[in-house]
Amino acid sequence: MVANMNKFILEARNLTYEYNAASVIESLGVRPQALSGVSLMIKRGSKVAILGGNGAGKSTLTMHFNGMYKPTSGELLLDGKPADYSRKARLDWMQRVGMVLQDPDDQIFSATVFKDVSFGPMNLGLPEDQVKIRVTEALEEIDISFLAEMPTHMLSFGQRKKVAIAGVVAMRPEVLVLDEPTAGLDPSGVDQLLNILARLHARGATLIITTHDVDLAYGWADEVIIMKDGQVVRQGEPNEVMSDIPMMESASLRQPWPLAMGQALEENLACLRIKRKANEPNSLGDFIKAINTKSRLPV
Amino acid sequence: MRLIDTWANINNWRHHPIEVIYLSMGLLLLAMILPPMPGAALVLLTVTLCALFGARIPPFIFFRVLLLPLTFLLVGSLALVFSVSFDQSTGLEIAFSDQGMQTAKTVILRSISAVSALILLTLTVPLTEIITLMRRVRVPNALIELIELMYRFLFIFDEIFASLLKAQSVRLGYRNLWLSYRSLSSAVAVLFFRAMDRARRLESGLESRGYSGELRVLNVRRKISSRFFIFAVLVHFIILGITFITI
Repeated sequence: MVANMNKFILEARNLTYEYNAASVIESLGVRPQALSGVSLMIKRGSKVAILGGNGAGKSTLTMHFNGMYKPTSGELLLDGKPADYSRKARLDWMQRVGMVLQDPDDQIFSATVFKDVSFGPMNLGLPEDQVKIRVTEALEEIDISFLAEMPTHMLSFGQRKKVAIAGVVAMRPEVLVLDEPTAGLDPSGVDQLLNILARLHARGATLIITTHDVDLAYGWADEVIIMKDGQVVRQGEPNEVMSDIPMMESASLRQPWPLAMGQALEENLACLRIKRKANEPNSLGDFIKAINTKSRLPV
Repeated sequence: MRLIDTWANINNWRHHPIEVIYLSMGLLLLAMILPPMPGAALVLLTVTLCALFGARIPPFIFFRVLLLPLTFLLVGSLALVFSVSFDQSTGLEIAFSDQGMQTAKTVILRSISAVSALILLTLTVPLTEIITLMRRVRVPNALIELIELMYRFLFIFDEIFASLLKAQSVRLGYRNLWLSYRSLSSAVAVLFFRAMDRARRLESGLESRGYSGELRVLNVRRKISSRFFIFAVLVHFIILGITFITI
């Protein structure tokens, strides 16, 4: 690894992005929400959830993380260094910051799974035997080795989603950005996804997801970023940020259930005047932490 | 289309694309150059046996795929069986001709056995393997990329189109003929825009995976089974042999 590693792998300083600017590198078809003055910092090795309602600018923001979009004004720092938008630098950047789009069909083009996953590593200019190792490892990591020879159009949505992730993981990025990774997955699909993410995190990857699933974000993230109308409303530790009900509601979100339940319990305990024993959790915060640990998925 | 593609990917011979291509191309050649009786008939028999017992394609699927060209052939050869003549004295005359019947038999037998050899190929070799092979024999890259993307998009558009039709029919868009025409035309128009949108989205999706103008992927190299190869050669020579003995 690099000797002088920065604590923050990504940093945005007063990022502004306007749609239809000359600097736009091809839009995603859907008109993205503009960004106005986004500042945030993402710690190396953290798990960050970007939350916000529909059209809050989550996707537009994430497209900046790997250099797909160039900000109209403001600055993005990658590993402490200002981003370079030259063709060569962007290729290197896209390898370091991997991006998984919401719709896997936007990313999968090849006829078989193995060939498709090999696309990224091939673009890095690796020799063929290296590519083969990377593809095999990525497929194993995502638990889809058995799909290697399958034609991509015969896969289910959940499987295609995994193939899209494997295609990015095979490039061995330091940061993995996933746009709405749980959208369209059934509960067991979500569990499998979280297991995959836990494995990648254990290997040292920084994970960034966008979602509007507050419960998922609450249980999973080290840090949450709340967005609204193209701006960051709040960034911080989930417990603290997500307890702010008026702020959450104004961002088209609601409270995660453990927080809501904790509050309800607190109120009811108070009105029932139950005396707490010494060894019981003695504050709302402790109580919520206890629930939170339980609500986290086994890994 | 989906049916053929599915079986090409799950049949028993899917791991031997090169051998199967050799086998079926040889059979195709034999069907075309040997006298139809017994040459073409033998080819047809061999193909059927190979498909049903070698590659384990269900008979229902195999015959259904075979039926399509067969109907064309039968309709087409009607013209051979009947001779139509127009004379001043007798007027229009349609006659059944024995010689025409003979020609029709030959044509049908020869074409259906040749087509069956091709059907064996399409039903047992996944298109992805054919693409890989084309790459190996150095077909221009641009052409291969085009084929591969078309192959991928065919299925995506098929899905989009099916969902468009469903969306229209649940709102009674196909209640009568007039409405059907209207709905279908607007569905086609929407499909066009969806296709453009898809292409744009795929391009930026690929760009974030380091795409820079060339779709390079790693192709799996297959080992050729010598036993399968010997089997294919034997089959060809047995058909040749029987044909020469019986002539």
